[in-house]
Amino acid sequence: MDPKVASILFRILGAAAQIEADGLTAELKAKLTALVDEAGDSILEPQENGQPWTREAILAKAAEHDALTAELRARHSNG
Amino acid sequence: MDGEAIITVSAAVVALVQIVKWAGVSDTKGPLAVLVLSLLGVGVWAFDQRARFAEGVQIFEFFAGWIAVMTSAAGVYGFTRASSDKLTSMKGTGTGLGVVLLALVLGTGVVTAGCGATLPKIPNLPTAVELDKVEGGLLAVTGNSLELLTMTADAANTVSKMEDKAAKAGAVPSAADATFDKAMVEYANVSDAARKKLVDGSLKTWPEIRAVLEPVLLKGQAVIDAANSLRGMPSRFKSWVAAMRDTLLEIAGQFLVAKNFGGA
Repeated sequence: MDPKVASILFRILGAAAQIEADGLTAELKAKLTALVDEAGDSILEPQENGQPWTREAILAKAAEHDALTAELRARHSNG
Repeated sequence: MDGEAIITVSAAVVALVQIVKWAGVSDTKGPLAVLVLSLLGVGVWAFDQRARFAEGVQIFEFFAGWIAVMTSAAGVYGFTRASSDKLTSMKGTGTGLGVVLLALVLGTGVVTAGCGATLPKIPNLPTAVELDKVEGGLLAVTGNSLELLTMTADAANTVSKMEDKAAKAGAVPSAADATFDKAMVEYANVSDAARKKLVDGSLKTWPEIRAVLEPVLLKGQAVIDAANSLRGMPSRFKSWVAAMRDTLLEIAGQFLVAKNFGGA
């Protein structure tokens, strides 16, 4: 048996256990479910708080999006 | 570690694993529990035998004993035997995105399998939306489109954190990690470009907005598909563990036979 394969297997086990313990799997499931629900709603619906969409609300949402992509880029740009 | 010792330690470890399972440790954590408790059992036995160490003992004797104890304890979680062919076919996953996905969504696949339900598919975006028939139609469509982009980026961030943890734990080969890094940066760039177009006012009709939004949502669907496709992973993973166990037992058995009876 390739010792590298066994080594990776055990590390994956440990990593998966840690990921689950940290709540990331539950977090991902919740976010993906919410995304699917949102995509199923009308594209013309108001904001979640019931208020109609305004230019300011759109800019605030854009800033929220940019913060997330900046976090992604920061985590993966340094390899 | 002779046969009597293996039987004695196995009996104690099997009882311990049964108690642990009764306490609620799930099948997903079963392999870890079996590994750790078997090691504990052999370790405690070895400590009791420490007076023998002065006579000189071979480490592989304890390792083989650990594997034998682990095999017995693994039966508590109902591991099934598998051919060593499955182990051979697993070697190809040593590098590449296959291992990244395994490391990434193993927990997700286990969660979805454990819950007994697949994640639903992202619905197709509507083909026609009459923006001018609803007050503030364009603003609403823009806002909701941005909401979808943001939620996709949020989910991608969670996947990113999972991969980061797995990579730091050494579970992801460096080449696969580099490939994943590049894919995530490209995704961030595509999502940013879509966001800019949504906000800069250049998109006036629903077909134009849809054309920008759809490619990014497809990436979110790819994550959902990966999570769903791994529903069967836990049972396959158990086969791999069983195959590894069988291979190690075979090696240990050959060693013990050679040691006790001589010959190859």
